[in-house]
Amino acid sequence: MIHVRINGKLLEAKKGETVLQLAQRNGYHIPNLCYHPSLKADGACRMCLVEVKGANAKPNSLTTACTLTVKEGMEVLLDTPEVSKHRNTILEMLMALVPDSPVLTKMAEEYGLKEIRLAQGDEVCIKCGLCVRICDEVVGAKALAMEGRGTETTFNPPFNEPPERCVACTSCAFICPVQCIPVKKTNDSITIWGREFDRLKCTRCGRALDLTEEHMALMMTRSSHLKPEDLNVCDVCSRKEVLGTMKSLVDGQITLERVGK
Amino acid sequence: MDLAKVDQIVEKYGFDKNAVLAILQDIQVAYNYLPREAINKVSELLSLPLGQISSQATFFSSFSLTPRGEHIVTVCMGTACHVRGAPRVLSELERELKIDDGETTADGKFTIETVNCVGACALGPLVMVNGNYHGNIDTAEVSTLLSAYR
Repeated sequence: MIHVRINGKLLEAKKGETVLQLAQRNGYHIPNLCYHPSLKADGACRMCLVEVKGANAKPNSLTTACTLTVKEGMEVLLDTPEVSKHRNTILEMLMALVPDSPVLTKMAEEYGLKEIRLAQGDEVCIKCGLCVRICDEVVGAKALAMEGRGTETTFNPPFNEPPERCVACTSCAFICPVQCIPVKKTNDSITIWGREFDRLKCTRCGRALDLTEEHMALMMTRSSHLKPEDLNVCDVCSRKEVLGTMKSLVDGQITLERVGK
Repeated sequence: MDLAKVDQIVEKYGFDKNAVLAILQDIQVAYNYLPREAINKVSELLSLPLGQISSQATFFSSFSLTPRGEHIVTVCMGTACHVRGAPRVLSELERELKIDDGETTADGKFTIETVNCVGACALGPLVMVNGNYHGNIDTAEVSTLLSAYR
């Protein structure tokens, strides 16, 4: 066990854990925009700044909690005036870039940021990169790209054209902290990144599924044990089937060996 | 578009997925810019997602995704050149060629580009044409310099 102090309180940390994970596990709140537990930490948004002392840290060093691995004897302070000052500057810059985001406005209220002194931009994206990362790391479609650099960086399908590799899983739109990726769903189609996909229908009841042919094909290449019939049945129908099997079991119509087959 | 050269270049690097940058540089030498078809072809030949190529091709300002002129006029805007009048040289070039920085003349002869330093600070202000250095350049000398390539 590694011993780390957060705001003076001694906590036991697991080896390899980050300060953000430790803090969240112990009920401390560290604001963040670009962290998600299922993805590698990136330290892109800089909102999770904390002050570090001890364990060879430089005096008054500020760093991102999401990328900071715990060390024996580390002391972390979450809400010092120094942290607050720098975090508000970062938030101010983000709000200047993306002026109309309810998420950022709420954060500004929470942390007492009153004035935006910088020229206002007209972007909707805070450039955290979560969309590209989830598409690469979790979905595996690798349909999106980070293009350009600096303030001109964009997170789009390559060359901002309808993406060939996209499967319309809509994970990017789901994970976006400022909800800036539009998805249009009708009973028959899903439109995302300027490309329209046909929605598959439940093979039993015909209800529209949140699934496309492309998404199903990708899932099956990524896990070989999956079969189409595992995916193209709606929740209600699959629940009915499970319940039906359980009922037959209880009634003694079938035995456990039969279920396996 | 003839993409035979792309095949040759990718083959030269042994279809190595780590050689994307070197491949793109060679393509830019061969075609004078990075054609979209060539980028698609690289993605296909290396079995890499298009995004992995496009992020590299758009990151570096030395890559151009639009066709460039026969002669590339590069103006150094580094600190040393800047204080010695590089902005004046640039605007003279823009006036002379009737295009802005980053653009290509209608006849496809010249493209103006700016870079942040070419490492020849003692020669500033400095203009490079097709990789040849022209140091200590004065605004009055711009048209003479260009006429050599016209």
